Amino acid sequence: MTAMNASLAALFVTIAIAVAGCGDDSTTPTTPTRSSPVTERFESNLVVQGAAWRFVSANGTGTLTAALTTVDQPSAVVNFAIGLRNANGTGCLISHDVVTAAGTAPQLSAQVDAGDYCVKIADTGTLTTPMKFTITITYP
Amino acid sequence: MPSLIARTIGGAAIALAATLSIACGDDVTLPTSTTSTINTEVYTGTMTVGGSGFYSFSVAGIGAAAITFGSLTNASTGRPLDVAMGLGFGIPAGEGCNVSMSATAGPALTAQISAPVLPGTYCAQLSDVGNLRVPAVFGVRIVHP
Repeated sequence: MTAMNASLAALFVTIAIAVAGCGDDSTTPTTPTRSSPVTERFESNLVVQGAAWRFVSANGTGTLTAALTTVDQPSAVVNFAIGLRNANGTGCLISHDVVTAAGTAPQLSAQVDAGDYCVKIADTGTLTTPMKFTITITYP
Repeated sequence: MPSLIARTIGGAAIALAATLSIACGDDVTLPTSTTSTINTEVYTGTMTVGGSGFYSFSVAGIGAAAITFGSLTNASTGRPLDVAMGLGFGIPAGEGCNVSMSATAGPALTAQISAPVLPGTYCAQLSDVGNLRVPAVFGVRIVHP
């Protein structure tokens, strides 16, 4: 191999290494995304004269629905409501409510912006023993 | 002894390598993204018949303030009231709120007022426009930069 050939080879190797070094071989971390809408179930017990609520956080604009789907006292009628979550996280500021029995179709539905909301169930004064319930909430 | 051509090529290789190394260097200052904090405040209180109240809040960045009159319930029974109230947005003035945008609306979970804001102090006002018949507990959510 002549000196010139050796120098040419060195040139090509240099270019190859330098160009390879410019490659973008790092992986940019991606922000985890949440599927929308979200559906979640809230199962608990409603005590006599009591209330229970669940907070949910909407990621964007869309429809929030709440369905009181099952109770273990089929004749029970309760107060069922949706509203804003109080900023201190301790309460539910009711926007809309219904007095309803359990059913498969959402009893409450509302357009919402991104933010924190609550779904509340309360005894209307008719319970005589604690009642198990299931609420299904869908939100963006 | 390398020829002149070979030495020229070798020199070019070194120069090229140096150039490419500089090009690969992290010599570009990328703009840093400014993440503006979104603050949520909830103004709650009891509204008397014919009453009015306002809430002042401080905005730290540039963006939009969204005001949602989301809750109005009978102060005695706790049941929701579907009553249209006066909602306003403005700048505190003296002991009041100098309203620059307003809407008359019932409680909802989407913003009734959205206003562009710069850093400063603003206020949200809620008032009975003549529809309220009983004292009521209200909740107004304010989202701002």
